[in-house]
Amino acid sequence: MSQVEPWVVLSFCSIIFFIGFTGLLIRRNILVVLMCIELMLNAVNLTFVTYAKLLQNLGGQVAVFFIITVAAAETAVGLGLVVAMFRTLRSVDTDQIQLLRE
Amino acid sequence: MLFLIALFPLLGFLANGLWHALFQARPVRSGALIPGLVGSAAIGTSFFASLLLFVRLKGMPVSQREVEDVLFNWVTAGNLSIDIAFRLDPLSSVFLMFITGVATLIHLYSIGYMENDKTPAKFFAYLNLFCFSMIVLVLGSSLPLIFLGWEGVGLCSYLLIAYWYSDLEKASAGKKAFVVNRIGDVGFMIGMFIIFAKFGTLDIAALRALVRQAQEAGAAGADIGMITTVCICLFVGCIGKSAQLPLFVWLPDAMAGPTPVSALIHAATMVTSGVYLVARMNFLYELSSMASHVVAITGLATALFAASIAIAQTDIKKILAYSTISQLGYMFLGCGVGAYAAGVGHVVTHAFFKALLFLGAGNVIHGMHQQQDITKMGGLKTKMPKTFLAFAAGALAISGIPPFSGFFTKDEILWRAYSSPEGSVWFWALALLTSILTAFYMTRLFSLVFLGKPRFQKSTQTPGESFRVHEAPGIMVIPVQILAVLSVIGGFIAIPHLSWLEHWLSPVLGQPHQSAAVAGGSGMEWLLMVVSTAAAALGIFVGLKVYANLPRVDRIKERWDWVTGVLRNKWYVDELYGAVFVRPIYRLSLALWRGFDIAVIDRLVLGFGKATVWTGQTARLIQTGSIQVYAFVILVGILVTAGYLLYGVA
Amino acid sequence: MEALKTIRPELLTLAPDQLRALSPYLFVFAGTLLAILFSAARVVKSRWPAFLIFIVSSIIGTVAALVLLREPPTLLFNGMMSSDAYANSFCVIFLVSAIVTAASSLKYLDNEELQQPEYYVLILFSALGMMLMASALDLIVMFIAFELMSLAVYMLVGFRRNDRRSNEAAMKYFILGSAASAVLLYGVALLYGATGSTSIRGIFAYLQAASGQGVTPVFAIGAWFAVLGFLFKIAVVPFHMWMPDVYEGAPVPVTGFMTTGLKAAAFAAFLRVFIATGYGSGVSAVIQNHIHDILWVSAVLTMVIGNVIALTQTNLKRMLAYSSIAHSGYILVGMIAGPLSEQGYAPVFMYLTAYAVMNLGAFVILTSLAARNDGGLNLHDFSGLSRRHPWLAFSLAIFMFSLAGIPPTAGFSAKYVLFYSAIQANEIPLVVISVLCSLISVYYYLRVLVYMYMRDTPDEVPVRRRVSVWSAAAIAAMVILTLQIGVLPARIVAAAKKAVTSL
Repeated sequence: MSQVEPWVVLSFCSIIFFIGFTGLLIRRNILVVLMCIELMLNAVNLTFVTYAKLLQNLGGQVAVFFIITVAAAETAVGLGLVVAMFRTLRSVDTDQIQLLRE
Repeated sequence: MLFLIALFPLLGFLANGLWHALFQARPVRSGALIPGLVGSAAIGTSFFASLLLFVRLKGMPVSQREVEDVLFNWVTAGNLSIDIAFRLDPLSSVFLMFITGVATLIHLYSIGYMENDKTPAKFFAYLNLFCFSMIVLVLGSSLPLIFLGWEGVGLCSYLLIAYWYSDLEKASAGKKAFVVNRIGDVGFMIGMFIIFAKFGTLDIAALRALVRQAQEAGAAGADIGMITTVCICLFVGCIGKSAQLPLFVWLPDAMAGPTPVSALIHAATMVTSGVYLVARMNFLYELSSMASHVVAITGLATALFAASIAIAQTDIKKILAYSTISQLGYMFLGCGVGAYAAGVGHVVTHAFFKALLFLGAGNVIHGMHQQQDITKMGGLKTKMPKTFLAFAAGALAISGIPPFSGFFTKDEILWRAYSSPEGSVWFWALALLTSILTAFYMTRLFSLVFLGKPRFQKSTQTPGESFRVHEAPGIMVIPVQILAVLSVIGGFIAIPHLSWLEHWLSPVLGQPHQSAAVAGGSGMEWLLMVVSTAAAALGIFVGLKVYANLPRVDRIKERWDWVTGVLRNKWYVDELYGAVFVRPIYRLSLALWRGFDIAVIDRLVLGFGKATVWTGQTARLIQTGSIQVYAFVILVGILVTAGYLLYGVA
Repeated sequence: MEALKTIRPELLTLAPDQLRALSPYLFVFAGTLLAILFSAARVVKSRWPAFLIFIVSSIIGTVAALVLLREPPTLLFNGMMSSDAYANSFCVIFLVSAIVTAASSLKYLDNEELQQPEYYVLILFSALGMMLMASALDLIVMFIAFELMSLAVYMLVGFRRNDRRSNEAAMKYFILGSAASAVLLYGVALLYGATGSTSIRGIFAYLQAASGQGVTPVFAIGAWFAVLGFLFKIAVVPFHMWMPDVYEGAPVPVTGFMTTGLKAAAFAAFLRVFIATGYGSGVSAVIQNHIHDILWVSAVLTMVIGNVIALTQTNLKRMLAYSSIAHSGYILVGMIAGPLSEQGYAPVFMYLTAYAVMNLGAFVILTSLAARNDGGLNLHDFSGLSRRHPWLAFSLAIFMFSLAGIPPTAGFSAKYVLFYSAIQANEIPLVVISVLCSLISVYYYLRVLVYMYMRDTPDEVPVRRRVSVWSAAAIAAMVILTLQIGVLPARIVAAAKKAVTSL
């Protein structure tokens, strides 16, 4: 099995991260926006793991477990907020969330 | 322990102030009794504590008589560090005792005097606040703290002069006092700044040590010009606060306040804080004979000038006000010739007899239903016998008849003015002339108020009104009587040669200056003493003689109309200030306001304001409310900053 | 893998002094758990159990933190946490703002018919998160604490579930906040990659070792991303845009809590990371100069934009939101000047304290005056307030004076100390801009006074609300503190010095 160069993985991670950010910018559906955030966090996870492997250091791998946990909690809260918003707004479209401005 | 003395009046202030703030809407039915008792108890406790501290101080060895109490660090900025610290030494303990003692009596007196006032809690809150500030002034260990007290008493003075603020004249009297005092305060502040710039400390003990050190090293001579400047700047502050020439104009107007206020603030305590400051800074004044001369000459001129005005006034409180100015002049004369203990001694006895005279005058005004014109009084001897007796003691004390208290301290100042190397026979002669005038105007006042036949029945405006002159109630008579006793015996603390006071103050104030030529001349001293007694007696005699026959007084007045006119109009000083300072400045500011402020500044400021608001209105439009726009701005921010960083690293 | 082979017993047990050092966290955590139990079981159908547990545990926590202030710093959990004067001083700020927020919420929640024990649980959770943020010495721990705080606050912002604006605010905050924490985390990952460590000391040790040859791009980007998350929370331009909307939509007491506790927490962690990544220690000229430039520009923009837009606001809550941005700008000035001046970062701590006190006070008053659904907070609703509520108007006037930086209030002495340190650091243009900006702010703060004291009560008289005892006590305490810091700043300056020297 051939070795993947670390810089390839790391570049891949950063691309994924910015894809996630871009998705956050352009997708209208809030659920998809939540997924984009998840994507960003996973890019970070991958980065941690890569570096852990690269540096022969366990810390990065442990950090990933914490991040996964936190991300789960974050999604739970986010979905709760989406449900609450859907009750009053009857929509999950980001364009509708513009009552508060200026 | 020391801070307790200041704490009690502060608590009294808070209690009365809160009471007033909370129950403002409902006038208190019980009159002035409860707030008055609270206030009196607060300051009375302070008095008691001062006595205890005095005893403690007396038990210490002479050279170590000092109690210090550092509460906390107040400000630290750069190399300036100011602690809130109190320091008690013989000088401040003397001031502390008479201030709290006299203040206690006056608080008690006020319970009677302010009986019918609508807001007694406010009055006593102010009085307590005044006492607090005065205690801070006297106990403050550094110049900024003294200045804090100095401004505090100024504020209370303003509040109490304008206490009946609905009367326009009284309100503007308060304003005048405040403004004139500010002029003096500028001097104080500049003096303080120079001291800090030059010595790097504002703590008085440290300053004193530094000055002494420089003196021993022989380096003080080099800085004598600077020290003179500092002394004169500080003295400008004293001129304002102690109503000396040329800033005395506020004090007579300050009589618009309630009479207890005049007695406490404008006779016994606050106005003497200038003397306190000069005595406190004596180690600087010692070095500069020029500054000392300025002090002495200002004091002497003020003493003579104010005494001459007092002769022609008809308002009982104004006469006493001018008399206060004149007596303060004496005190500065004493300090100016290097006899600080004599000056301080006169502060103490003056506090007794002038408070007595004011409170007596308050009884008279109270009894005469707010009549203050002495030409409409007369014959009160029989109607108000207790006040009459006490007032007589006060009048004799201020005139300088032995063995009343004023005699000893005033005579000491006269003697020092003559014998000190800074003094001269001219100082003595003019001071003597002042003392003749003093005896004369006090006799005039006394005679017109208490002796002769009543002149008020025919002068009452409404004939049908029953007009019953009555003696004041007990609560107003007893403090007066206590003060009378003090005025009679108070002078014994400062008997020449045996002077306990001088001895007690010597660790702080040093020995008075004695020129070699008169050092042995004890005979001369006795001679001068006899002369001054005779002069006082002469003043009294002439006064009694002249005012026994009122028609003749009127004839004299007519013949010397231009003299009495000038005196009655206070040498036209107010008019002069009006013409020279007040009106031109007013006109200038009016012109500046129209020509510059409205035309240029306002347009600029408004333009700037409009531009800012416009920017704001435009900028808030970026705030579209869309999450994705916000996220986009964040992303741009991240990319730009990260790019800038990468550019730096690469 | 080596670490797993040798189990070190000191990692698994807590020495008594470590337990002591942990006590504020343990008390607050115990309070949180108890409050959850009570609210989940609904044994007593009343607001009191959760509220009282809240008050008691956070007061005990505050006292514990105050006691610990006198003790030497203790390292906990293998150096992942430090109980030092810095952390404990911040704990006091967080817990006091939590207490004040809860005290003012009691009646507010009744009025809004939102009285649910979960509210107090969430505040306690976020306070716990803040405390851990201030004491964390490891970026992963800091991140978890950061999320603990943030998640609780997202829910608090959306606590008025039936109000569209509250939902919207929560949603905006959640999405942008999550993105910001993802960026933060990415920064941590890059730092880890560059230095091989996630601990603050480890990163700093790497920097010192590498101080000769400069830093790698990965380190620079990582360091910058790691502080971006905090810059987002303290709403520095250009990461500020969420703030006005969220502050406006959140329930009033929550807004007060966010402007004080949350902002202080973000600054507390920011400062630790900031120092660790080499600002001010001169280990890397690139970091030093470029981050300085970036912060300089953001500080200026933050102050200008915050103040200028606040000028045009008519809703008091939104005005205070923009002014909160402006105050972040002032604090940023202190951060920039910190390493170059004598006082170091002490002015930053002092300003945070002063700002927390005065802004909390102002928000407690807004909470007490808010009408249903957070209405009644427009400027004209405050007309003639001095006659309807003389004491409230007076206190609000003091807070406005303080926010505007007029002596003798806390705002003045804090600004004075801050600008003085900036002058020492030779940041003269920055100080000039800051002072001009605070001049602008005087206008909109004092406008509130004009309405309160010089306008007549509007015709449709708002309902005169009774102020609860809890709120009144909170307001009184904040007024006293505002004046105390203003008149006698020496003590708080000393506390600030002590806090930052333990960094």
